[in-house]
Amino acid sequence: MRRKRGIWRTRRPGVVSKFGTTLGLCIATVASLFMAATNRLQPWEFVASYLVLAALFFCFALMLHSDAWPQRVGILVGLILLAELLGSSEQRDELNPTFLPYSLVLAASSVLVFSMRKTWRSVMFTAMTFLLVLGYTVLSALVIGVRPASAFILAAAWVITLAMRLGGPRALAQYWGDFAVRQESVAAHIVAQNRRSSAAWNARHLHDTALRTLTVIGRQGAGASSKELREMLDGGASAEIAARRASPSPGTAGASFAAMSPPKVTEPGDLAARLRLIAEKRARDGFSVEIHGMTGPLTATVQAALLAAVDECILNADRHAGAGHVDVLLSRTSDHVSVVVSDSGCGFDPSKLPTDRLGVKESVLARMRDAGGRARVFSAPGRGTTILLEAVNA
Amino acid sequence: MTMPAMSRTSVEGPLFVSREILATACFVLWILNFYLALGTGNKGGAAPWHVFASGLDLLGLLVAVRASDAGTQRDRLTTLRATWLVLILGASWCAMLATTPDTGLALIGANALFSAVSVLLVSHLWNLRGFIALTVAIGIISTGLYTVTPGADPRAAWNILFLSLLPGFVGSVSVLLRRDAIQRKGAGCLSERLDALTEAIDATTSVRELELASTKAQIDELFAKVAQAPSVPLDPEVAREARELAGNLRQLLMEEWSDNWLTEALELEGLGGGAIFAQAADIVEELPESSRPAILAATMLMTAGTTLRGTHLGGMYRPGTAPRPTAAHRIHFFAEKSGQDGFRLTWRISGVHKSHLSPLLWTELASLGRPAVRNDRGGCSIVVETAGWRR
Repeated sequence: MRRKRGIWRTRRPGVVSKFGTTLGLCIATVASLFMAATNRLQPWEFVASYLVLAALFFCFALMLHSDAWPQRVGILVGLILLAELLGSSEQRDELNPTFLPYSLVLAASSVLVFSMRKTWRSVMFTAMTFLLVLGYTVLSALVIGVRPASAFILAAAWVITLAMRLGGPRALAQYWGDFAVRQESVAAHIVAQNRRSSAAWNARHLHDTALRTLTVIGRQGAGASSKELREMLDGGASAEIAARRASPSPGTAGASFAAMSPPKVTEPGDLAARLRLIAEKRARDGFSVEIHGMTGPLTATVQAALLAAVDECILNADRHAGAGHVDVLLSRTSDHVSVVVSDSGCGFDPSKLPTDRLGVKESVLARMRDAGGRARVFSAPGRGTTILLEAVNA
Repeated sequence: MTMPAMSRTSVEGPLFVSREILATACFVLWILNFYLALGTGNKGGAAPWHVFASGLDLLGLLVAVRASDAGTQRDRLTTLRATWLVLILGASWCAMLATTPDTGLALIGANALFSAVSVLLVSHLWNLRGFIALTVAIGIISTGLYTVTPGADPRAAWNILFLSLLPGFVGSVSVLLRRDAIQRKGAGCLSERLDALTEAIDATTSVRELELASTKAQIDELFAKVAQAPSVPLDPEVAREARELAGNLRQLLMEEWSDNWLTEALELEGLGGGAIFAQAADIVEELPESSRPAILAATMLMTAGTTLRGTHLGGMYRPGTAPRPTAAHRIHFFAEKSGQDGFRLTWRISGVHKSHLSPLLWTELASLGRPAVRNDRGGCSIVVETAGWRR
């Protein structure tokens, strides 16, 4: 059997079409009820108009499932009949207070535009339905001898619906397309952020354990006693064991860096007291660390980041600055905490820091950034170094 | 991982799918109003109120069009909305004065319908709460003015109220239905996309991880060798091996950081070739965490969204189906420090006029700061001053 096309083909309406059909049904119903309430109808008019309204309901309901031509013709004829039955002669005059409901009943026919396909036959069919309802409206006004204002309202409704029919699906597609791009950006950000966080933690972990120990060994252990070297190797070994335990399976044990999860943050406590413990641990002959001020309670994340960053600053001052003394100054405002680590060592040019030096970049700057804060380095050759660590404690 | 919760009433626009359709509907209704006003003028004699009503309505329409333009500064929207409300109030007042028992009531009814539809346009970049409040306000004003109109039929007041509230009701329902669809489809699609991207990134990182694992095994061996006899000074050969391993490890860690977060995310989406970064990665890395999702979304909407027009007619979102950029739409991104803590972000989009950019892009940019846009023959430039880490 030859497949029917164009105006005859049954098609399941889209979202825009369904929405418009429901809207048309609401407008036609409310306007009809209003007209019926304001008019004194004959009994037969009353019965006939409600029968027509019921038929319209049926046709509109069918339109929600399929926009085949009988439904469309049924709606068109039903609306014209309803306007004719309910609309008194006075109501067709724009001077009448209830002129608008009469026009709205006819304007509800504009929902037929939503069923227009991109075929000549369909366009012609829709145009014919428009001319039919427009012709009725104009003739109706002329017969009574009033200005055809209702025809203008009808035409306006059809033009607006045509704009929705032509622009709606495309606008909706663009909206969903842009939404898709935004959703993909959310997914890409989460995945990239997770990878970078994992890589950052690995880099810091390796820097603070393996790379530090390798540097000491590379200098043939210069500056460290045999006991300290053993401690460093033990610390490195412990970290390796922990890393292996965190790896997902024996087969991927060697590739365990990416699988390693960041350690749990330290319990909140007094930052100054914990820094004093670090200062005692790092102090030796010719090198001392002094802690000034206090911060009060901090969140665990901020405290862990500050502890690790300050420790790295102290180690750098000891190893690279040639300074004998480091001052650490803690302070806090209502919701911001800041730590200043300063030494009077040889200093350096922060803009000329080699790219492969991960200590300041990763263990201090990136660590503070990941904790929601920031770190700034103030230094110049021969003028010592001051590092300002800041974070929001919330 | 879940999608950020979306409030049903407080999300800033765009509220509706198409500003163009709303503007067309308003303009058609204004023409209708003008036609009815002319009829009123013919019957009402020389009183010019109907002319004022049409004039003020047209001004209100222009203001509403401006207030719905995605490129309008967000801090000007309140003024524009207030101006629109005053103009519409004035137009309704004039329509009331132009209405007499001789001139009929169609003008004031059509005026109420025009005001109600233009609420959709003026609230396009607002939130649902503001839109509903404005709809109710217009409904009250239109009906109130009608009831004090000379010769008004009390029965028709309900008709005016219906006309005033209908567009607002329809608009609210459409917004709520669409948001529900976004929540329902968005969460599922995001989850699928996350799985796909995670698989993709796992495949690319496995090679690097193997290299890292190999270096790590050598370090373990070296540590074991040193642990057997940890007396200083150490053997020079061991020291040399340690220096080599340290160099290798640094190199591998540096490779991990060869990209910045923005480049990495864009390359993950296959959009790396569409954006060029005209600044050292350090500045991009310093951008605050809170701003990063919006910066990435804006850059992706510029690279992918600009090619969207007419190419993505599926109507529904499917993961990975976002359009890809073409060479014609090349994005240059430049980030620099501004002020004490802030940053100045500049996007240069070649071959695209600002009016062709996605409305969602402006929402993302407005969440970063106040965007300034400039068009020229080669394309457009967008500059946003965004706050720093203390934000």
